[in-house]
Amino acid sequence: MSGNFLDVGVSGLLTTQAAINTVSHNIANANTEGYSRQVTEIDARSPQFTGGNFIGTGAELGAIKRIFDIATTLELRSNLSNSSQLEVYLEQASRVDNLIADASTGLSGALQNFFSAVQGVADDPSSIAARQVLVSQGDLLATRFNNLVEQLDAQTRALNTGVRSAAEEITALGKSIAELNVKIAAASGGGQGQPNDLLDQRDRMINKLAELVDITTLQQDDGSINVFVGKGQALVVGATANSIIARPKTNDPKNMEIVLQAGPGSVVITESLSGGKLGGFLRFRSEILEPAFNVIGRVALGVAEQLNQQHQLGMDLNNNLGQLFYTDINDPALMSRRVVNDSGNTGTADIAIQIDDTSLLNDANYDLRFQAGNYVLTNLSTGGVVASFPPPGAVPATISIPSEGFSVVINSGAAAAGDRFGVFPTRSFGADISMQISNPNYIAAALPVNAQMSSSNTGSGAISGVSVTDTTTPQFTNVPNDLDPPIIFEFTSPTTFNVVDANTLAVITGPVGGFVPDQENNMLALAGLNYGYEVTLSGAPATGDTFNVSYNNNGVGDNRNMLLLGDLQQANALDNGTSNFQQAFGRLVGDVGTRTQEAKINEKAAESLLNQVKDRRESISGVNLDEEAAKLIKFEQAYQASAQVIQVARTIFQTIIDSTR
Amino acid sequence: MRISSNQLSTSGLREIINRQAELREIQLKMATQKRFLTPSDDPVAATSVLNLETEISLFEQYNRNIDLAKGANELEEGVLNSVTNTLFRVKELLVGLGNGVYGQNELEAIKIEIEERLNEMVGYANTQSANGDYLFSGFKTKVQPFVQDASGNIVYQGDQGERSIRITTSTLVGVSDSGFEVFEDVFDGNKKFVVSADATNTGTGSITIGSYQAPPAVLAEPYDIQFLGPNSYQVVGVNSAAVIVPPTPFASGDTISFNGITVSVDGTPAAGDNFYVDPSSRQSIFNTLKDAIAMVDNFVDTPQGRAIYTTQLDVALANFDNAFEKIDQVRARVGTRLNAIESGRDSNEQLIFTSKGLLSKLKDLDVVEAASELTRQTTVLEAAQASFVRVQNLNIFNFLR
Repeated sequence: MSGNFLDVGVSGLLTTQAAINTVSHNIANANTEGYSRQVTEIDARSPQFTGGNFIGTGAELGAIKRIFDIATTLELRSNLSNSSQLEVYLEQASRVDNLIADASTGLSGALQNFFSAVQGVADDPSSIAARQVLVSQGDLLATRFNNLVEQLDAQTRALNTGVRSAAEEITALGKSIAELNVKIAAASGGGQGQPNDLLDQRDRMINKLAELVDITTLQQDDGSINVFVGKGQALVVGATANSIIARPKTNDPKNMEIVLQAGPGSVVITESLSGGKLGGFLRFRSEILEPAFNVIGRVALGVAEQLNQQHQLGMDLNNNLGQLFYTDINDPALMSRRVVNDSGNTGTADIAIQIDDTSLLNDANYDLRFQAGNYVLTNLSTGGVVASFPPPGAVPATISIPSEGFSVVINSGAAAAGDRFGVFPTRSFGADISMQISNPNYIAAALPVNAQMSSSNTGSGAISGVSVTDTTTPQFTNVPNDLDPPIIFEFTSPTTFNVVDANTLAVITGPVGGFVPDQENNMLALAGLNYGYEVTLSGAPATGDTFNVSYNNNGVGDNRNMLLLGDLQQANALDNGTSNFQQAFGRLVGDVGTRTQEAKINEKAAESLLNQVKDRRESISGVNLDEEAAKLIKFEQAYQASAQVIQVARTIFQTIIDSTR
Repeated sequence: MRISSNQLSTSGLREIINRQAELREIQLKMATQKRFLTPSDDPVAATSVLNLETEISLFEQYNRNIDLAKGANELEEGVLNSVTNTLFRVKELLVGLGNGVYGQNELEAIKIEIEERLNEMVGYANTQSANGDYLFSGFKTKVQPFVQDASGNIVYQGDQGERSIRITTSTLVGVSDSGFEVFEDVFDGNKKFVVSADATNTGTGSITIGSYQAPPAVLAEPYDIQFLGPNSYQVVGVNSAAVIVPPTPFASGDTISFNGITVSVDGTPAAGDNFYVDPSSRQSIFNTLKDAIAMVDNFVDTPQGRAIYTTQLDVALANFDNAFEKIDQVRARVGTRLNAIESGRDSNEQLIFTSKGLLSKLKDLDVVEAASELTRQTTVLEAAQASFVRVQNLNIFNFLR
């Protein structure tokens, strides 16, 4: 009977000790990340039935529980994924945002300076100094394109490193979670107590995983948790963990793809991944980085095509026809570089892309696949099939894809069923463009054709214009620095004329009718001659009047071609004839800016959501030192009281012992 | 709501960091004087800024073109002014040649000055700009436009190219006129036909330069006015040999009209004298003066010689007036171009002004607003920091001693 309350006192001591221990554990872990505060549950022992009454027998330790809310934990995970995805996206996007709009790295300033230099030559076509400025500015413009691509390339490399390390981290975390699963399953075997700190540790791992990629989890009966990534691909199942591997894409080695390796089997899951750091990298790559490469490449293609075309219609200071100003957009090596053979291809097809019309190009990459006996070309931005064609009867063959502005050229060989080709029409030209002219004399400021009225003319007919459309005709190429032949328009009546070879004086064609006095008349078109140039005559020529058309030798003061080159600054040469160079590039700046701004706003929102959930979790599971202090005081007092009980028991025993002396 | 100790410090710290970020942004804006720091701060404005900056630089380039165009046209105007001054003097000299009392010696003296003036004119026509380009050789700016050929004629070496440059988005303005246009593209006589007297005429008849009536009458082949005697003439087509005007009685001063041509003959022609009417052709001012010089050289002081001289001088004066008129036309055109250049500059300046205003609105920071924002943010940060320290010090453990 009396031994009983000593026992009660001891039970109080023991349970209070455990409670003080838990409080100390809480205080010790007050700043531990992901720690859930623990509470000691103390129960009353079963009473003893003695003499018709239930007599209390003291306290016993119920359980040490962590305070934890599953809904908040899941919410925290999805917010972690979302927030870290936006954080990575924003960080990467801001770099591009700064790069393309900056005056010293963007394109706008270089375009302005280049066209100012064109105007400079137009103002004074025979000035070597002005021409030298144009050569330098032309070179700078090309270099600016190159530098932009270089910067984006560097960012791609950094991104690939980020993707690879994220994949490695995911794999490592998966392994740790699987190991913890084993420990937790073993520890949860008996009793009602839980391995609280192991559970916290696993939750922390899963949260870290969520920061890397969006995941879903499934709690098992034995306490282990299965983790899935993407669209239900298992990363951790019980004690088993699979690997996530980043490797170069087979049809685009510049970029990484993500593979889930489960035992011997592997599956590409790049497209199904979202969220987290990895999701942020991948989204940035497809929304900003790839389009940026392509827009810059496309503007470079437009600049090169337009300038080359116009420059080649001109005549330089040495009386030669204009040469290429920039890299030929359809140089065979460049054409081949626009297509990547998938490393798994078994066929022999050698395929290239020829740019036909830069104004029709868009910013997409394409996938060309040989399947069911046909080549199928798919736009990777829209996912739509843009063309499907059977293999050509004979190679080399050029298959025009008019809607996309380019042609597929099959140089040699044939594709095998299932062969794939990555098609990147615009991506690389920003890096490839370079100035082809280094000698200022080679700037073609003049037009190669000059037309004069004869001074013996008596009518009012006058040359109102000369235009050059093609300098590859025999009339230009047969004889260097001359027309073959120079021609004379000789009027046989006020409305008819002969076209005469100025060298032999033989009539080439005529009399040609249809000349309308006092109106613009395109003479070569009237005569049905396609010489690559056109002479426009107005006024009313008299019978016998002649007009001489000859090569513009020594026309060093002629700036007509420079004026035409200058007009290209304002010409809507891109985006289906709706944008000039500056506007096409400006749209990239706008697009990237808008996406970055969006990311900024979303990131702020996601961060504030994340903070709210973190606060909620802290509010539930976090340690409050004041609370723990209060508990400490409370349990200290309880401990002292239990000790007092033992003291009382000792005194009582002493009293009894003393009375028997 | 329950609050964890950790939460108390992290959320406090978070707010302080947020305030610092805002403060930094404001500070950067103040330092750069920009309303936004990256395109993502305001993507729409950023795109507009790029386009506006391009536009402004384009208009500024046009204004540089305008400076050049103005310089070129003013240079041409200056040269044409000198040419005109010379022509005024030449006109006096030519009128002097018509003074009936002057004999061979006086005429010779005038001729020598005309020769000098001719050289002066050729000099003007061969003017070079500061960088060595010839002003009047068309596109062939390195080729001297006017040179004397073996037979002593001043011939044009340039072409008919006329350079223009862009001064506004929609306007090209000429910056050169070819030598052909300025000095050569001049029809002789009355610009429809030119008269001449046969050098072997024995009478004292001289012919006026005449006038031309509008169609239906058509001037065509050269015509020969043949005097059958002092009182009778006929007109024959030179190519067709057809008799256009049958023999007609004649008295001094009578007008002779046919095929739109009206001329009159003064004095007393002799039988067998011929006067010719040829369709006008182009003759340069230089060759007109050359003709005048040759005319004095060939002058014979007899009544017959004087008659021929009179006809030649009339034609020379007409030719000279035509050339003078042409140069006046070109000068007027240069003047018009200078006006166009000035109004082009006005329009460019207007556009630059508007664009710059717009650009400033989009790009420039409202400094007053930013400064007050800076002050506000500073106060907020200070408050956050002070309260953080106060809150962190509150803890029961502080009292458990």
